[in-house]
Amino acid sequence: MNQRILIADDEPNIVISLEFVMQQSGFETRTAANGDEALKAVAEFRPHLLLLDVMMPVRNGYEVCQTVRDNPALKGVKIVMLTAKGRELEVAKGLAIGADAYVTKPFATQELLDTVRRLLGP
Amino acid sequence: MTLRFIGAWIACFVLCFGCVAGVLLALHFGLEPVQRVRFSEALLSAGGLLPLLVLVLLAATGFLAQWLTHAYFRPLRRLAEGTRLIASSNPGFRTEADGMTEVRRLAQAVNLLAEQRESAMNDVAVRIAQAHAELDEERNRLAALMSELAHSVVVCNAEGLILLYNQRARELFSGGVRKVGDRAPPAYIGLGRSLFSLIERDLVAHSIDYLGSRVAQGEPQPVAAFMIASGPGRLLRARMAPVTATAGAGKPGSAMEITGYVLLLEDASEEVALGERRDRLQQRLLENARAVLASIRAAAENLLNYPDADAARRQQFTAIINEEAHRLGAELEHATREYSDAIKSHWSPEQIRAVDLVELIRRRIESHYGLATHAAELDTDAWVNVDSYTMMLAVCALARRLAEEWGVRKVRFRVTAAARSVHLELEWTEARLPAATALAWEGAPLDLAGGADSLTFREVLQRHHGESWYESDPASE
Repeated sequence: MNQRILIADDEPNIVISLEFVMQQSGFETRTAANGDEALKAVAEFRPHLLLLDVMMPVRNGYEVCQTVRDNPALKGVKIVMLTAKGRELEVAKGLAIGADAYVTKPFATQELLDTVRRLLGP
Repeated sequence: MTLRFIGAWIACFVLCFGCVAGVLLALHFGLEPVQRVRFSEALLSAGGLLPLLVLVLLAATGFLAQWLTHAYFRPLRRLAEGTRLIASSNPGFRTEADGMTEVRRLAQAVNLLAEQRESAMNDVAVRIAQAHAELDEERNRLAALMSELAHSVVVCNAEGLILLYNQRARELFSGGVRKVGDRAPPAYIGLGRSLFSLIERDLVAHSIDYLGSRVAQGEPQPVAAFMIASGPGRLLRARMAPVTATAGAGKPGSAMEITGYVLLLEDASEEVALGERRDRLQQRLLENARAVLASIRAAAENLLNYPDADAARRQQFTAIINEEAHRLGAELEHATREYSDAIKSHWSPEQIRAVDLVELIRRRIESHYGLATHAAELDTDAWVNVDSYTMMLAVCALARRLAEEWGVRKVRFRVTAAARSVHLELEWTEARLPAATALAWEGAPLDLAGGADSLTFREVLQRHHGESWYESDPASE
């Protein structure tokens, strides 16, 4: 059974590219364009890993991350935060509220893929 | 006949009568009893002469008293009165030297002393007048200097009582009400008022402690800098320096003592707002550029890493790269425009010597564009009212074009003062420019931020109510 990845980002172009990369690597994917959609998709899709943009409309990535972490049923979901906010303080915040990795845009897709594989395990 | 004369007369009479009576009594008690009886009988028999003796004594003592009064008492009294007059109200008064020799010498000595005292007083008065004149001159010079300062200046004593302030400080603390016509703005600042009625005490107290410790450590000119929130949305930048004096001046090992403070204030609200605007602009540009680059990079990597992807997918990634590249261009355009607006809004002309402005321009040209510069003729008395930063950028933009587009390697500056203007000439000899090119440069952006929507040279000049023209010297052709 393929592992599931939810890609939540309001930038459609990056979503297209990431979805393609993940699918090529054998992951099952779904996408969300804002925070609310992301939370609904998490409940329905039950992803193993969430690629979460920080700056999203309706609910930002930090809020989504905290909501997921507050739900014991979603304890096992890995979260990788993708963001253009690269300040040290923002990285620290992302990791403090429960993200497993924090990747600053622009990133190399292969490095992101390595991070995803490392978090999901063999 | 004065009381003093009568008193002297009575005293003399009593003294003489007492002497006669004493002699008689001494004789009486010195005789044998038999002789004493005979002496008493002889006195009694001569009793009719007693009134005559008294009259003689009265006359003699009267003359004596008269002589004493004229020779000593009156001159001494006049001398005392004269001395009192000299000491109290009339230093120029001199006592009359009459009476006996001793009294006249005393009067002469008093007059000599009065002479020296008057001379010393005149000397002191002259020195005080000179000191006052110098103080007034210094005060006027300081007031003139302070009025020309771009900063608000407040001078206060160690207790925080205001001793001096300039017009800008008055305006700064007038609640934002500017001078209208000849009417001065209402002042919340005033001589003798407390500094702490203008600025929160705690804000200043820390700086005072800091300055005190620096002075105690022997630092000659410490300065404390801090920001003050004053009124809604207004920020003041303050620099505070102590006024020091040597405690126990002249004694070895005397310590410096703070006798007051000089406070330089400027309204930094606009500058801070501009800084915040630039920060937001930079942050937005950075984040948007990162997001765009992430999309471009991911699409490009997919094209490279998955060469077997179908044509539609590859076309999709190519379209993403194209779209995101355009978006990045638009972002940069927007940022450039915003930056230009920020520069335009930050318009702060100030008085500067033309030679100092030229020096700023020369340094930037030499360091940024590698041109050699030379000051051919500079009027050191010429002052200009300009935004020196913007003006410097404008002139530097011309120098940069000369260097990059026409290969000019050396420029000369000339500053001359006219009736109501100052002429700044930028000269070169290595290339002859077509007039049309010079005209085009006037309307071209200065390229402050690398974009096309920044200020033009002409706009800068218009803001300074200036004009520019290009002259070609026929002799150099």
